[in-house]
Amino acid sequence: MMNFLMKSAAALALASTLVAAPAEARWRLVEAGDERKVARSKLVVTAPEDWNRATERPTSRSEIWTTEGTQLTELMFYAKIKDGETLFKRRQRKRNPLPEFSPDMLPTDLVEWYEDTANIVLGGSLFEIVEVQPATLGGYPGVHFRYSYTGGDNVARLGEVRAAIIDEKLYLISFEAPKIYYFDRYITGVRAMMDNARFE
Amino acid sequence: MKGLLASVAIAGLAIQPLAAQDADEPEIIEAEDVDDTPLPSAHGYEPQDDLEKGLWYEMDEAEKRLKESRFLIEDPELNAYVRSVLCKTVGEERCQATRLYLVRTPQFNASMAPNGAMLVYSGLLLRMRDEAQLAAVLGHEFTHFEKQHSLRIFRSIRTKTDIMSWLSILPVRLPYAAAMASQYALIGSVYSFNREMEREADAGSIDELVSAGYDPRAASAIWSQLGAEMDATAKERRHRSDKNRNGGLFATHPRSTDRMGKLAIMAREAMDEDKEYDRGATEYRAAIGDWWPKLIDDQIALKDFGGTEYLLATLAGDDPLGWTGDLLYARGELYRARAEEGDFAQAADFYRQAIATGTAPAESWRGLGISLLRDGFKAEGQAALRSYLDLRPDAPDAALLASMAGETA
Repeated sequence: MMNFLMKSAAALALASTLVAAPAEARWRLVEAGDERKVARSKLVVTAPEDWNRATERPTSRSEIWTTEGTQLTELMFYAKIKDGETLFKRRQRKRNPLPEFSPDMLPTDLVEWYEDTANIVLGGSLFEIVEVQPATLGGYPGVHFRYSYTGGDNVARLGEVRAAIIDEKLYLISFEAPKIYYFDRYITGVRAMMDNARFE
Repeated sequence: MKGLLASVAIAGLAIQPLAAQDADEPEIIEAEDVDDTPLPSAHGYEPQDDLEKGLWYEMDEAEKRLKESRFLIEDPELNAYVRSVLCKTVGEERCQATRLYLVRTPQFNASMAPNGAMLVYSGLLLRMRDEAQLAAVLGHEFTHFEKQHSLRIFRSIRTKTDIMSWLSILPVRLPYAAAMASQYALIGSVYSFNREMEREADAGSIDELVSAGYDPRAASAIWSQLGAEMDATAKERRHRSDKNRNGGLFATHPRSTDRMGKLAIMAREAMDEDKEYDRGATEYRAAIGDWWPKLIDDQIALKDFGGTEYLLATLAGDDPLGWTGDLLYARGELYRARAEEGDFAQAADFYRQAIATGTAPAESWRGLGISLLRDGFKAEGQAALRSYLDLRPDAPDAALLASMAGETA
């Protein structure tokens, strides 16, 4: 039990806070230029450079990639999130319920939904939306937003998300990394990946 | 061996969630007679023996890390204000032993480490209605510190042969919040004080309030507010109320409902009929004012509809005229965030009332626009968003809102 607590208390990047066992997941190389369908969907992305994908999924609707370990670079793909589902696995259904996705959400609601989820998971309040823009994902209208936050490890991180509701289901790509060095090192490639994502 | 035991004990306390203890606490063995030792609040107090030295060392290290935390509220005015309330409550001389830290976290809690580091959570500042209530909490924690309650717990741990079994009964109900709190988990450990210690701290806080001229009835008022808020949270989420199980400042023993009654009696007995007691409601609101919108945002983000709704109503003072533009805006945000049947119409109504006060934040227009759009009132919704963009052309989501308002970005 203590191990579990210590692990939780270490509070890594947002998604890996909730990923069951990233340490035990095996990683497979995705080479620069590789095209892959992600998160068991028809969403296809092209790796801008070498990345590693985890063979274990955080949830059945998501997939996690990294280059340097998830605390330093965390790229998440979520696909086909349906009405009433949450971004992460529900852990404390009653006492700390995560907000549920609704296909009626406006783009601004998607941003707030993500922010609320992060706030509950991180338990803190230093999460801040920096900028929100209209954008497209795979040719569908959606939203692109940037955020910053400090997690339990006191590391300042930046993140960017591209999301769209397509046929009543949510598709979302997120990237986050420490503000110092890692974010800037990878964000250009990640943005290109978000721009070029397409549906097969 | 001694060092190892001490560090195991510290690790055990460090992992305690800050405000989430329940179940029965281990029985604490009372300290030996400590009457002739100096009080830790005395000037130049030094730890008395190896165990206390070790404890201070750990706490000092933890305090160094706390100083680096981005969660600290550095605003000098707010820090000075809370400190002034503490010093007024316990007196200038004793308050010198305290180093005060304000931490941005929406939970309702405060704690004081054995080396004199006091943590006050922003969620507590949001909930206090007046200066006397804040003084009651600070006086309570200061009494735990001065009576060396946490040190006594450490001493008793050392007398237990089976530390692991002691740790295993530590009530642990890890909230998500604990992850964020790990930076100050050790220094801000909320100890499972026993019944006697809590009683001592309650009595201490009443004495401090009276001698500082604060209305001592503030202490029991906090309990009734907190109990009702926990009931409201539980009702909405359909679980049992935490009001009799929440730990830390609001520890299990004595149960909060009993405690409220006892505090009220103590206050009545301590009060001098001919004397005027101060609540300091105006001073308190003035001091917290600039922070209030941020603190209520933090609270709304917790998605605790029942508790937040109750909290807003108490802050309005259960008075229709008490609903300021800020409170109405917050209520609109709360309903819009819940997004259940009828909530967008309710939210739109609150935003409109907020705007009508003339003092509401510009974000009321944003909330109104989004609520109307969600409810299918496209033209009105777009008009409200345009009003918002006129007021806040540089909003972080201006480009997206402009496109939703039908303007070309």
